[in-house]
Amino acid sequence: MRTYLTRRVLQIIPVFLGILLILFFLMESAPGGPVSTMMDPKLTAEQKAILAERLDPKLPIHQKFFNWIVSAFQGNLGYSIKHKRPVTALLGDFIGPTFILSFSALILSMLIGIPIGILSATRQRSLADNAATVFSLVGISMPTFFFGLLLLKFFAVDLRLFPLYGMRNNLLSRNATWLARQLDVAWHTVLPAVVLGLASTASFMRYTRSSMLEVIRQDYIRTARAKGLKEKVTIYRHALRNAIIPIITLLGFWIPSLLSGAVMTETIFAYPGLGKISVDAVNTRDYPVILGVNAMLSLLTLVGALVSDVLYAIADPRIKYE
Amino acid sequence: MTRKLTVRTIALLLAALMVTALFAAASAGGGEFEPGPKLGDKRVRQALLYALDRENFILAQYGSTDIAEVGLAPLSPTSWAFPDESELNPYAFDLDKAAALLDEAGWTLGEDGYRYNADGTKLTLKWLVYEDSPWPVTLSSMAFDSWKQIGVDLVIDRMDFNTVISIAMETPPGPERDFDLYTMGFSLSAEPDPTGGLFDYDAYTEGGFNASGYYNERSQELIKLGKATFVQEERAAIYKEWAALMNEEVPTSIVAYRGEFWGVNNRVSGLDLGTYAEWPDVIKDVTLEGDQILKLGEVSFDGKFNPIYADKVYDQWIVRCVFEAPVIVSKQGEYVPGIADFELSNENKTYTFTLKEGIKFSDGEPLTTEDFYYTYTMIAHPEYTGPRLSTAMGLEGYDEYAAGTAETISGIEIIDERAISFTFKDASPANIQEFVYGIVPKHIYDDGTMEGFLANNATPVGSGPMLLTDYAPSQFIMLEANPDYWDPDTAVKIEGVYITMVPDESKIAALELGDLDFAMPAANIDNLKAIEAIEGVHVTSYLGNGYTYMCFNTLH
Repeated sequence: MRTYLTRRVLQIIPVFLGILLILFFLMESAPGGPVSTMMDPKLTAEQKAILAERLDPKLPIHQKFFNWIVSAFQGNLGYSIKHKRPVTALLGDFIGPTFILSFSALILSMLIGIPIGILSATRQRSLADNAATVFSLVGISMPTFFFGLLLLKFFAVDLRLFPLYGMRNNLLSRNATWLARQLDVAWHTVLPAVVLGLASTASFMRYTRSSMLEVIRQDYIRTARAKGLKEKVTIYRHALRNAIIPIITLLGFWIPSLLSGAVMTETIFAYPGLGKISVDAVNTRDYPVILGVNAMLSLLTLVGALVSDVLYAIADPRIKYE
Repeated sequence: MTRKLTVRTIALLLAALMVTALFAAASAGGGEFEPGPKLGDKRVRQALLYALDRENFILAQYGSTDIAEVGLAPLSPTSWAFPDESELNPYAFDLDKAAALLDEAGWTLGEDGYRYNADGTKLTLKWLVYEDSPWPVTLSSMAFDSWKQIGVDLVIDRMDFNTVISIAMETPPGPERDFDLYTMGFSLSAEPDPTGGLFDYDAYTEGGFNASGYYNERSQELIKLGKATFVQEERAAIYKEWAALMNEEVPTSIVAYRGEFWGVNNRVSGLDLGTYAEWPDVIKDVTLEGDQILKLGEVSFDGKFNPIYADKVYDQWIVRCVFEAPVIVSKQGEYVPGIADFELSNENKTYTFTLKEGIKFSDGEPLTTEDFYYTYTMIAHPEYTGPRLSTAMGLEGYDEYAAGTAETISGIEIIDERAISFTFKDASPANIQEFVYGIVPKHIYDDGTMEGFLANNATPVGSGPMLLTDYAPSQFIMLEANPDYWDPDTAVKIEGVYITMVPDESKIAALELGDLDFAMPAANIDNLKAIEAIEGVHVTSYLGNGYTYMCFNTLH
């Protein structure tokens, strides 16, 4: 296991460098530049050229790549062109909300998706199972923006149960206690988390269902039933433990996709996360931010894959890595 | 007094005449490139405009002609320099006239329904359309249909905003620029001078703002004349002639002037919105029923609350509340003294500012010419990357300072604690607009580096009527009235302004719920009607200071 882990961690390095190289190459070949959007007619071509050189010095791509790697190891991801702040500080500002939102969505979708998945597997072809299947199909295919606006219309505008936008109401909570402020954040997070979690709830449901169906057809489940164990014990103690293994491995992959998938949800609910600044960064060619965000996401994906492999071994003693 | 004035006017006129003669001689050479057979011909450009129903476009895009008006000339209709509307051609939709103009220009209908010239070239045009906002897509689709009826083959090439700029403006100038048309929006300032803009041939360079390649001797002459006099009536006459000429020649056509409207809660009174309205004047006289914090909803801020770096309109609002500038723009769109009175001397090249008495920063320190000097020297800093570079580069001695051969910029001179002078390389009435940026306190911002200067961006300190007391990126901004503001006459009357980031889709709902006191949703008739239907909320509208335009590549 230890040699396997070491090997996997070492493998991450060349893969990560490869991803970075592709990112650099893509940015280099994209048309336009950070000065293009400074639409001030008072700036002459000569002045624009001076600014361009200051913002994005013309260096050969391998030089740029090398400089970036060296400073990244020193904890310096460069300076945002648009925000005039260090990229690390910018990521620090925005990753918190995105993480809160994504994590809530993940917990929510597991809490709903897995039990329903079990239920529909144990009562295959029942009304409940059919309803769950239809729901999961709708959930996967429902466009985020539409579902988001729908929820806003019903729960925020008509019923006034939840706030319309944002992550907190600072005007009301300026003098509130710490707990009240956290509750305010939680209250603001409900609708966006439901929207973001919808698609993953549906996939959790389907994965759990199919994995469960496979397991309960196994011989040892028949044995368990034959020796007179209660159905509850059979399902929850014997079947579930094995059915859950593939779900656990999925978790590792889910975290990066939740972070990057939050863009649309964050836009609809004005949730102050990474989504909006990443999109803005692409539109204004804010290279250091694009690099910083993508490097972080790809690193998360690689680490996520590693974590899911390790979890797999822990959850299933039959799996041994050499 | 009167006699002195007359003498000065005559001297000025003489100087203007001389300058004109000089420039006329210099520009006699003409444009560098030959106009192309398609859009280089004025009649083809006019034909395309006649064949584009812009009123219908406005109805399709905004739902009503109350929200946008058909564009006429490249100035704001609210400007003192805008010509009489009756003298301008609105290019009202007329397909017959368009077809006749194309015939006259030698483009005759072929058997396939498209037009060809004598060389057998097909009248095919390539339009660069960006999809970042919906209107260019609408306009180009309408043009595709109606231009087909007069035999024009339109090719629509869709891309993102940045790519349009890189093709149209950032490739080397000449007939090789691979486009025939593109559309975009443009914001104006209160100064009508078109130097360096869409219509100035001198800006037809790689990276320059003019993409059309159009050259007109009279237009270039008028642009120079407009900068040669400081008398507003004379300047108005020059720009009126220029605007009418551009309306006739249409190297770049003004598609529409867009209106802006706000939904405002009835508990707010005294909100002063308008074409040239600037913060904090907009909220200075506001009084509120109920709680004393004005709540505004807006989309996004970059968080650069720094007078020489802010480039987003919304960032600038905050900057103007927190900082004060030597010069401000009046409601009529004129440059008037802010916290300093100014005087011109040295053949109009030198501005001498005298700071008003008693100005102090919110930390109690007085604002002096040291601070003024520091702020404007930071623009010339070799690491400066903001949008105001042109301000510093026009100053005398900038080149030496930038090259490192001079310790200071010779054009900036501190006379005493309250007086400072700025000398420009060239005299121009447009120079005054370089002084609308606020002054930062040197004792807080100066640590010798640009990074240290920028580190204050999110926690700005200035001398303005409001303080930024709390800010969370992409969430909210809290501005509170400055309790020690130096000028009690212009202090704000409310406790503060709370600005939240609200997506466009939710603004109207938030107005209805009373979460917001005022907000500007996307300008279209549905939103306007939705706001009008809300009880307790009214609409305030005015014409925005800008236009949407369609640029023709006249070398094609």
